[in-house]
Amino acid sequence: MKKFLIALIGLSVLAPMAMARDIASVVDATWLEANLANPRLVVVDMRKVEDYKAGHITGAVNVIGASVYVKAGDVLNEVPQADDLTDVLQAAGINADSQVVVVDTDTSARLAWATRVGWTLKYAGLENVAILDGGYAAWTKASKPVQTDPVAAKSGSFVVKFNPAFFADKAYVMAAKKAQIVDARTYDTYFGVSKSATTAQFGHYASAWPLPSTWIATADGFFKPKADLESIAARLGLDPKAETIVYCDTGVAASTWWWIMSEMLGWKSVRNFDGSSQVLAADPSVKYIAGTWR
Amino acid sequence: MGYVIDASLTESDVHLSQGCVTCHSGNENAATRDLAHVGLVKRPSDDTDLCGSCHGDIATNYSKSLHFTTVGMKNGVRPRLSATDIKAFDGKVFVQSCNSCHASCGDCHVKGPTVSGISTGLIQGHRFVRKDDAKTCAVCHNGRVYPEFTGEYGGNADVHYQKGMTCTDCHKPAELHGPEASVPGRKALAEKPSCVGCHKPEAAKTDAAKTAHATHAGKASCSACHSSSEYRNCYGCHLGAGATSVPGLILGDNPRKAGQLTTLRHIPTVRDTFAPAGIAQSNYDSLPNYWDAVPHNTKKRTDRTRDCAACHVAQAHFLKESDLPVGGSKSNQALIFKFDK
Amino acid sequence: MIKHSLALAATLLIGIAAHAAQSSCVACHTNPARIQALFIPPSVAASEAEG
Repeated sequence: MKKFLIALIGLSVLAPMAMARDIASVVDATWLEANLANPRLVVVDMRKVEDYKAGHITGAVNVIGASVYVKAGDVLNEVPQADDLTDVLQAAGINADSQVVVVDTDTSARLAWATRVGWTLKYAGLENVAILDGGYAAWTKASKPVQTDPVAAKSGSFVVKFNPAFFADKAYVMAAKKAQIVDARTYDTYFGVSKSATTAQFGHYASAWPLPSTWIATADGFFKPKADLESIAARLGLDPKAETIVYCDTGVAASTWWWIMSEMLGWKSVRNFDGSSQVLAADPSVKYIAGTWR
Repeated sequence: MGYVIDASLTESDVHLSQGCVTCHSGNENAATRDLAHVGLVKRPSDDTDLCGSCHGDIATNYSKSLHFTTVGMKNGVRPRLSATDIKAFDGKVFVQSCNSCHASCGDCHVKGPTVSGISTGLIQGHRFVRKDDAKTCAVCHNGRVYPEFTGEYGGNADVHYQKGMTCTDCHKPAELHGPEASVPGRKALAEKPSCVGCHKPEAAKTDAAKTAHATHAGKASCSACHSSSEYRNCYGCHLGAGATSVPGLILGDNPRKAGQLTTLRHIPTVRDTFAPAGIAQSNYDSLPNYWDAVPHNTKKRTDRTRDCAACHVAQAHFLKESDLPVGGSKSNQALIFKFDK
Repeated sequence: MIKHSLALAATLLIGIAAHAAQSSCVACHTNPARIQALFIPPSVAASEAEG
């Protein structure tokens, strides 16, 4: 009995450590160059095929963004079905213990798309996912090694198993009375001055706080320091220990703050609302509010 | 960028070793742009004999090919036209509209084609490139096909694009340069891509797929099940005023292969499309308003492959009576697919 | 007579030399600044990136 108890306690200490990420949530070009030879590393270039072929990070595989966020019925930017996503990730040579670095053109205009892919991989059950700070633009600006030959990876063995803790759908959001809900869209959109074509109503979800995704990157297009991002979230009065749901128009911009809160700041319970306003505001019984701040 | 040539090519490239005026005419000793450009030939390869002086066989075939002559478009609409209409069409519509899209050798090998006044410029500083799909094919075929292929149109990107393949990975030089004997349209080409050229239906990975393939052989095209999402359908084309487009995934009876369920794409020609040119299309109803299409948005698993009921019960995406355009061709009726009893 | 021949020879030589030197085509068309100054780009609408 004692042995069993000891084993149990040991496991409960070790298991979370085994689950913990062993790569930072954001890596820079220097780190990446130094780690290119790491056999567990998989560099995923999510840009268009033409851009990848014109030049990519040495050893990077091309997984176009459009294979990781797909249209489902009428809804834009949804997570693919598990079997489809498994095919995509295995073809990229990804295994359960891979350290995956997501690379997009940059992390300014493309920041939300990079974090969307990052979030999808975490949601799919991958532990070690990072985003390259500054994207491919930063890599080439620093004159780091590139190649043009396409990289055909040896097939990986990762099988997608979605982690529901990172996910929110419409039903969940409407039932989540105690969660703090964050709107990652611009001030104009939150306030109801303008709106996306795919969102039916002006304004924001009733209890949502405004926290634009555009506040995450510096003018140079790099992630702001962790302390700055922490204080931006704190200024709003958000509680890192409470459940947080981030939404936007289609779940892309929202993934930026999801990445910061969940992966960089280590908040306990953060969910990205896939479908977001496209789905929520389409329901006439859900009243978005325009003209007021929270 | 633009018309800036790579200076090193004047030494290294055999095409440029003869001097610019050999192909472009103009005046190479002039002091000003205007004087230099007197008599300038902007598109020397519009005369295929020029490239043909070295690339004889290719140029001869190409001068008869569909990309160069664009006769496929003329032949496509021909059944609707009376003899007098055909003459008027050739004179007033074909050259100005359809044929304006014709591609010379240079449009694929030197400088991206110009569409609505915009071109991507010299492909590689006036180097004579073997291919550059994104700067050539993708420019003209950017209304339909390419944006569907890359997912930019809003549906799912084609799995082949996801695997890094672009146009010329399937469409080979033999097809693009054309065969020795000219053909009336692209469907008549002997050399063209086919799914089964790489994917044997009996080599599918699961038993369910093998069974589905065997059961539907001859009854459904590959794209009927494997076209993943809505593609662009154009409606209401009026000479000088263009058309409007709507996304749609339409399944119906193949107008060129009766009894086969396939993906259809709506063609925008309406009865009065050519009215401004005085062409009545007296035989308009002889052709339907949809052609069989192979939308380039292939995917292994779709709603139809996941659930037989999608087609056999719900008839999802099937062309219905109520979908048919008002005042459309009487030949459209035959495209509504009927299951065998 | 000799003067004429000399003048003719000089013209020919200068002509050949001019041709052998860079043509005005190449002089302009390898100069990005020159071409940019002459080129008026078509206006293309900017697109929104918010997801």
